[in-house]
Amino acid sequence: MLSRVAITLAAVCFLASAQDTYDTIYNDIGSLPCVRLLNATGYVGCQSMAAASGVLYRADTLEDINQLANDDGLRNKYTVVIPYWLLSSSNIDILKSSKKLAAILAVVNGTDPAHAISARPTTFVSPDTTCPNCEFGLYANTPNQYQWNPTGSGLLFEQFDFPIYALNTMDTRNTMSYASVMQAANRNRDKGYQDYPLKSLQFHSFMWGAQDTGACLRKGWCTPVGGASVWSTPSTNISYTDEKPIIVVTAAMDSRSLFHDLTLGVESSVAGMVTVLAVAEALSRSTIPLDTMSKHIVYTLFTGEAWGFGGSQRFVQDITSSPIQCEKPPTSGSGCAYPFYSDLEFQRLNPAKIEAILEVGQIAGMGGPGGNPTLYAHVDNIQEAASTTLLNQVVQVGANGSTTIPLPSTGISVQAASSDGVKRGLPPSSSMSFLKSRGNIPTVVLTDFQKQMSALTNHDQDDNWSTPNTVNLIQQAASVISKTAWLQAQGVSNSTAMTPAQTEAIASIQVDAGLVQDLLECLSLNYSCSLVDRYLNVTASSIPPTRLPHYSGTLYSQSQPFPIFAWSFLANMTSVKNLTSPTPRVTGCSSKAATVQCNPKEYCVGDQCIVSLTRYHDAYGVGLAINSNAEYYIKDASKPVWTESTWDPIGLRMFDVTSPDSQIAELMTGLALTLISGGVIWYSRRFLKKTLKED
Amino acid sequence: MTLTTFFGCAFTAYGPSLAIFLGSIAPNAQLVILMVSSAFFWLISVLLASAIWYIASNSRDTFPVTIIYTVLLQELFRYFLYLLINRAESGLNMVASHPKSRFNRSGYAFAAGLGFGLMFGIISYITQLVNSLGPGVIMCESCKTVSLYFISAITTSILILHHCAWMMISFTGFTNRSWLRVAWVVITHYGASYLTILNSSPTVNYGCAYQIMGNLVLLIASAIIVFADMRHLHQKLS
Repeated sequence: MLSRVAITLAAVCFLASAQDTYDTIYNDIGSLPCVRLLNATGYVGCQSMAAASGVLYRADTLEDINQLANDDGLRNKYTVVIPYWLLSSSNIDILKSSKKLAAILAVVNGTDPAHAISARPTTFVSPDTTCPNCEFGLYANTPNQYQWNPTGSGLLFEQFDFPIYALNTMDTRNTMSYASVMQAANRNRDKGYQDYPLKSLQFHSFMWGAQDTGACLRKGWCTPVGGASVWSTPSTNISYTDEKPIIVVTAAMDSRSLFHDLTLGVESSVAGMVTVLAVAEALSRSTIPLDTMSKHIVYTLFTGEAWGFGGSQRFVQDITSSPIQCEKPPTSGSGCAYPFYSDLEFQRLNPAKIEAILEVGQIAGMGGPGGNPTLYAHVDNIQEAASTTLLNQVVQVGANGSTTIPLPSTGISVQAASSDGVKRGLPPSSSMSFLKSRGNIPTVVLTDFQKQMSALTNHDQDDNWSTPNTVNLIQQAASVISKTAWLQAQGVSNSTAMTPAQTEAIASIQVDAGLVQDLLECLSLNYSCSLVDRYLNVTASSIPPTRLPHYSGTLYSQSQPFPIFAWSFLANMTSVKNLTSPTPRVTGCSSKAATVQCNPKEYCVGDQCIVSLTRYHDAYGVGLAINSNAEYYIKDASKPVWTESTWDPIGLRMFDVTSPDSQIAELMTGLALTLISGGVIWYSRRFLKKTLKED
Repeated sequence: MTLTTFFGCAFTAYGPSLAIFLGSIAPNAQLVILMVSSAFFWLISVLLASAIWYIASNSRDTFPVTIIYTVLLQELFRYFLYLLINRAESGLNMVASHPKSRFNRSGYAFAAGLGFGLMFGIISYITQLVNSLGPGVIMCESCKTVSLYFISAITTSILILHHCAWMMISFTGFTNRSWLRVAWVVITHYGASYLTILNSSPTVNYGCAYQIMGNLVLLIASAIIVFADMRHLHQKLS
């Protein structure tokens, strides 16, 4: 009877196709997973061998979690929906030991009152360790290293053998997922989690990588974590042998968090990156052109810094090992095929000539102890004498009320971090990579903290930066660094003894607060903004990107929007300005690409043909290397070798389930029916044989 | 969900009929061949019905209309099957294990009925059975606390057995020109089919319970008729 088939399928849908049956039973939900990462000694993160499925259970407080663990009436496996701030080691242990845990859904940002910002606890802890990346830093071999993140819980370094996913309401798709899950969880709660059928959620979260980086690289089940660093200099004619000192201005571009799609890192890295970009823009206004000065200024923005300083360590390793003998030239483009470098221009930088490093660390002013925002200048405490002059200059430039070096009136002072008498050394920073190679480079790291990092370090929930504090801090830091770099590049030691031309030039260096605001918004909230659009055509794409994660990603495997934007912006800011020649720049090289073309030595940036020395540089753990067959291997296991596991398509689907008891009942019914029928047949055959005296 | 439900539903739907098959049909090769042939006849009738369903695209969603021509086609092919077995009967009887038995025709009818039934069971239920392997379940529209898989399994089980009964009754009817019996088969076939609409009815509460009870009552009634016929056959010629 086709009617039976029709009724069956029509009970769920009106087209006879298997996919539609699937769609009615299962509701696929967009997902933000926590994945597995591997290093030299093991692995961290989440995975599940088999598809984990559990009845949705809503736990808004610690009491709810305990209630789930202690309730003997609940005998199934559960997918627990908790607010993100309840995701701690101890709570997870409670759930695990109850043997009822299938998976965890952590709501990072939700509209339900239990997940709203007003319900967040006032204190929160960073999920990073108590001293992030210190095992690869400058003080790794000193005893009793200063712990810069004492409240860090270390959640990022734990292993979970069940899936943990995040829910967020940052865009339409994720908001829909959140709404579906909350609706289902509320329905389950209204039924007391006992009145089946209940809504259940299944996770596919199989991670291929296992054991550690060495094992999974051999099997091809993981990829190095990393991306592209960017370095740029206005001195387009810099060379290894020009004997001119180098001033380095640097910051990190990436951060990490439990859920890579949600990594925002305004405090951890974005504010620093914005500062360096603002410095480059401010210095480009100098009436004394930067490429005519007696020293070079080099801007560096490193990726992979959250993973054992992958970007900066590799950069330092590469510039200290020039010249490079390229054994196999590339098939196309620049660089070298073996040993692998995507670009070889870094050989023009002479590390022995680096005379000062100015770094911008965490300066967003979020998640700290509060009080008046202040900038602190940290120096190394092992070779501190080397940095004294630079430190004094930074503090002097930052002091309010200096008439020769005007600063915007933000009211934010710059102090030496050791102003309270305690010499803590440098916080974990990219400069450490330079200092590990040569320890006496004068180095100053500017941060918004004196004694400990923000509790938002590498958190998934630092999605707020506060105007005006953050903007003011960045503006002040950018002003101080740009002017200090300028003074250093000019060789000015006494700022009161400057020539009129110098005084005029330094006054022309102004940090644009509007640019800072725009950069912050574009890089953290909405990438499809007019500032980015000037360089990269983003608003024209079918789904304009809004909030992009600041996780560095895996090497060469996906596009890197932030390095690409940094490259374009820095290329524009450091491009050669034809001040002597009256001919304007050639424009239209991207809008009218057919008719207008740039010279071979020029780049088309922002629809103009420019000359600039701005390059990418490979960033990945310096303990890894690429062999002649283009495969990754571990060269030095004592150095960072972070990789990310490959994974099958991550899936999350929601459906109804019946109680385990009713399933057993179905099985028993079936067996009973079959056995009874068998008995009836056997008996009736005997009966028929007897009555009919034939078979 | 998964394995427990899968086996539960599989045993419920196919257990009784497979037990019958293994117990009475399987030992006899001739009956097995008859069963497969009749399954094929049912398959053709459903093929034609689905062709009509496909062409009549406007009425695809209205079950009452679909049931009309589907059942009609099945009954038509039941008649064709009867004609075929009739023509072949003398040959079949020659190689039967008891050539002179008067119950041979009933045996052939029983095997043919099981063929119709098992093929029906496979076609109509196998998709749901495979879906029951996954963790998700569809709940029955009219009985929200039981899964659709289980209700369908019970229905399938009843209807497979009913197909055996229908075939035996209709063969008796065709042979003895007893149009009452033929009418009984057609009417109860329509009745059983329309009863299954109650499964997915959102307005009738406990529709699935009514449906199962209704189908059971019809099955018992048909079974009584079959036994009466058998008894009559046994008494008439003894």
